[in-house]
Amino acid sequence: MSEGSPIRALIWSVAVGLGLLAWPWLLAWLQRRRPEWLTGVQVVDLPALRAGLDRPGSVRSGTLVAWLGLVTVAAVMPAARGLLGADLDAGLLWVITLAVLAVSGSAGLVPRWTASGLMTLTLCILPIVVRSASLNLADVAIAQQGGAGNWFLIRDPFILMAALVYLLAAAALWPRPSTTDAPGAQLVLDAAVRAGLPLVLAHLFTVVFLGGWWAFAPFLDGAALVNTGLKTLAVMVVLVALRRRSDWTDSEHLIWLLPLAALICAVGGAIWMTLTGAAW
Amino acid sequence: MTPGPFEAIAPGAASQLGALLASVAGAVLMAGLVRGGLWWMHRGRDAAASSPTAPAPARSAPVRRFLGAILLLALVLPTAVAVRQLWPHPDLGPRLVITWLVILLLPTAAWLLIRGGGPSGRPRS
Repeated sequence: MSEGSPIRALIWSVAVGLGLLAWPWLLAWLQRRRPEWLTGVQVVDLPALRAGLDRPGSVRSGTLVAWLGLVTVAAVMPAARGLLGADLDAGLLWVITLAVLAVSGSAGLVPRWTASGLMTLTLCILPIVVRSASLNLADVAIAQQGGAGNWFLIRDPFILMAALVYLLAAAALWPRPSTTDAPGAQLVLDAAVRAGLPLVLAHLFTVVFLGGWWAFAPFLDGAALVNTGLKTLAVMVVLVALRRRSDWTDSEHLIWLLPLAALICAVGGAIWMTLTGAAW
Repeated sequence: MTPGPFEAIAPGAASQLGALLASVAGAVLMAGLVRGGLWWMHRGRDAAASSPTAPAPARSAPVRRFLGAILLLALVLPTAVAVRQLWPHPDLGPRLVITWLVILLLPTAAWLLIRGGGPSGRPRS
């Protein structure tokens, strides 16, 4: 059974929190330097962020709950072998539970889309749980070592479909831009949650479908953090590209289509694994 | 696998849950640092010049009930997971996953069916 160190978890979650606080500023800077890259996906505005720092005030409880959920999710996901806050045996279950808190507390999402998106993401991860026979995120990543051929993304067609549905659901869950007249602390944490949610979903996709910290070729496995970072960044680029296709991600039909597609992938994946003898 | 007697405490489970709580504490610490840091920047200013936190956008009663139910599940189930993780059972994993999916899917499906014909309510910038 995995062990956990509270001191390591505290240090790692503080580091992750700092990263999530800096992320919207980086996005806002990129938005100003290269506006054509992020057209249609803005969640933060740099002048508004700077102006907001001058306004005193407190943080809304919903934003605080969303922040706690988001940082904890990011902290329990492995960035490399042993490089995570808490190595939990039921890690995926905790991640989904905390994601519910993070998404529910965020003011950037509508409840119907929230429910549909969370259900879709859960169902898309279900075939992975069956194939890896574990809820531990590190075990899920370790089961994909040995090069790109072992990544779950290409293990069977239903997991590939589940991955595509996951990406569409994550793009549909992209938060709306934050209000710019909030006080400083509220604005900072709210911007971090809105900008950080797609990043955390991209990292989860990397761990679950793309082998986590394992490289596409085994001789590159030593650069674990670089592998994780590059893959997460690549998934973010895909999410931004999908989000810019608002005719796909804003369709009302997705509210029921995405969970249905994910359910088909989950059931189909289970049947495929049973027939090929790859699971149970 | 035949179920055997429960162990008093699963090895490693207590430290895992302690690490999870420490992660939450780290998030609380960062939120506190942000709030405290900005308070330090604004100290000494005229209190009348401070802007109160704008109220959260009003939600309808069904939406509030739904969010409340989801949040309750999100808080109750991890507690159950933590308790069961401390006292392990051979069928813990599959039963919890299936139970969680049923608990999460049924109200969500009911909500989608009830609200499926309503307006989108999702403005985009």
